[in-house]
Amino acid sequence: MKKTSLFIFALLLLGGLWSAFLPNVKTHVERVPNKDLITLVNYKARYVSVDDIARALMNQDKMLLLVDVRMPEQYKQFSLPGAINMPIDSLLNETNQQLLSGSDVYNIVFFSNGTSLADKAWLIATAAGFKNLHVLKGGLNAWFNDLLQPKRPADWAKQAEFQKYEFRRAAARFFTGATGGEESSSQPKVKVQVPVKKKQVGGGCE
Amino acid sequence: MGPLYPLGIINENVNLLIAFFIGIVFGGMLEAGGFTNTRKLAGVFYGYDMTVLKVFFTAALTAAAGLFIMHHYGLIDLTKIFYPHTYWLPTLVGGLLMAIGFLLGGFCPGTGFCAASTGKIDGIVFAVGVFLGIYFYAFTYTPVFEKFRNSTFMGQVNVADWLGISQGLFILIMIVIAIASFFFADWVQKKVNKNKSPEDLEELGL
Repeated sequence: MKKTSLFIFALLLLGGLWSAFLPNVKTHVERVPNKDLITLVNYKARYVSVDDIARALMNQDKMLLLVDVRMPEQYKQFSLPGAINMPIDSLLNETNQQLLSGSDVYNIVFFSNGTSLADKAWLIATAAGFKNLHVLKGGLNAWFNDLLQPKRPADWAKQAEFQKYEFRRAAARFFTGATGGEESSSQPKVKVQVPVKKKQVGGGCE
Repeated sequence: MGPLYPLGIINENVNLLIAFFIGIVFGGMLEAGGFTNTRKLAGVFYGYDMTVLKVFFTAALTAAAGLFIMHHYGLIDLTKIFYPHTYWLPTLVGGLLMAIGFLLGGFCPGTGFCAASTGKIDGIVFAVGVFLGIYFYAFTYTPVFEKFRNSTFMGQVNVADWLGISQGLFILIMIVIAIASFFFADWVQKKVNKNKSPEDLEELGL
């Protein structure tokens, strides 16, 4: 053996010893096993209704983060108040991952026009390990058709239906300024909690 | 920091330019090391010259240890590097064919082109053969090879993970095996060349 060979061997061995003390490289994304995926898909508790969202928005719930998963053009045209845009094709980019990791603290709600795109986003993000995520059932379609243009329940409907109807009318007034639906004067008036804008407390850190 | 091209630090043209210069240096080194001599390459199979084994084994392990260490110090992101899928049977057959070609032609594809560029007629013939083979494979791929090519799929396999040991330890073990095999190769080489005249050895560049 020549001296150069021995020198190269020594270098190689040094590299090997160095490597042996380093942790593994994760070369692929960990997949959610199929069984778990089925459980996830059937997990209905992810859905929140437009009423829940409307109530939270009217109460200025600071713990709510609305995420519009549609394309930026659609987001620019219209979106829910305070919603941020995470187009589904860039859902797991670096910025969005940082925002999603805030789901320990925030209630993150995905929404799209209907339910399916938001459902996809929910599945992707949940499979990627983010927790406490929700989907707006019915999406913006439900927001317009059910919440902003509520239909008066039939006279024989349960009182809860009328309460919901009154709430939705109040919500429609709150969000659009218009009066939607008909008065349901035949039924006892339901007290609707219309949020009063509280004066923000000036904090030292703000 | 790296890899430069996948992370968008350099564009495709710069990438190709760098590849061009690395190619020139690589080709020059192959020529300088005598690798464009068919006898040197076929020597591995006959046992009279084990340089090729040493060079390629060293190169592979230097790359393995080097990349692994660089990954842990943020110099290169190994997860962004192409990581092929394993189809074990086609790979095995391909490896055998390659070895037969190596033995018959005395070149591997890279050294064949180096030899062709130095004007060696066997190198030129070999290079033409490479192109014929590529065209043959491409035009008969769908009817003949496609099914076999896609058989015995194993996904992205990492031998270290498969063995259940850490990746760094695997690199160290491979380096120890390599060094042992170099000493063994030297022993074989000496034994085979014992009865050769100095003129024969001169011709082999030993």
